[in-house]
Amino acid sequence: MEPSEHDAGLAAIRGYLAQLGAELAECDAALRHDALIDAESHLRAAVRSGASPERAIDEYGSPEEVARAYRAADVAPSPWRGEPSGAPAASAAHPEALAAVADEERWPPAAVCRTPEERAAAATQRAEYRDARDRRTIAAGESVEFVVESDFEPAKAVVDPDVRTLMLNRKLAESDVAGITQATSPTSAR
Amino acid sequence: MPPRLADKLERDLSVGTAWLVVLAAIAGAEDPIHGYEIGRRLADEAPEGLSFKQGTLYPMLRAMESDGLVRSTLVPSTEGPARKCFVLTPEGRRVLAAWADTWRRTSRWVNRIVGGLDGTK
Repeated sequence: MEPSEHDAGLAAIRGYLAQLGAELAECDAALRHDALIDAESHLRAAVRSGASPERAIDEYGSPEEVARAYRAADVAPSPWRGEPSGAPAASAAHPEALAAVADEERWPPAAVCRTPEERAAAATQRAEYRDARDRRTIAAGESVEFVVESDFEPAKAVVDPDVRTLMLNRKLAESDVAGITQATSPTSAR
Repeated sequence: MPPRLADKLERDLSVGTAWLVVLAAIAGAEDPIHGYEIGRRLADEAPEGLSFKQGTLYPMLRAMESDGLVRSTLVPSTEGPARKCFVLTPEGRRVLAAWADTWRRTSRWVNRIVGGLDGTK
């Protein structure tokens, strides 16, 4: 069966996303993930509005220039990372979840999703991921210390583990865990 | 005119005004606005000969969100990934008001100086 015009358009977009992903291969996974989602969402919207995939891609910019723009705008790491007593990047005015997490990444590595199944897999958290939580209200610039008990050895602390509000630059929402003490069982993380 | 000077003013102005016009485009939308619609609006209103690559809009929005000027929300879509839509934060509105005032004062000053030239002297 001959591929339809729609299929050819999707193939062009997939090819573009693959090139953009390759251009950002050395970048932070969260930045690469955001860049690919931004591009796919934009190009689909353009095609839905009647633009040809080729025109939509041309107006969006070459993978090289778009990747260059992402790298140039990438935000420097927050000074509080690894220093729990420093100023946090969080600025939530409402109760925010805090968690100690095991070392495994919560989500699979960013990848170009071509099918609904691949997209569903990308949105399913890894089975190895574990966390133990507390809940606080953090004012802008405020530093908080929290203690949670876990039945695993925590490796890092994160703000907003469900990624409800802090979706970009997830590394800014992480901190090292200090003062780990092991009780008989479970362990406590401060 | 040397080639490097041909579009120097246009490039410098683009760099200096990009954040201002993007913030203004978001402020002018009634609902949270998707990056595609921001890009379309900027492209539709752009003067002849001035173009920009719409893919460069998203890193700008990412930096604006990091600076607390805009906030994004994900709107589910049946035809692909959820659409990330943007609104101004209160801080974004304050910054936009201040920058718009700066722009108006600057453009009045430039018009007073440049507007009197007839280009023949």
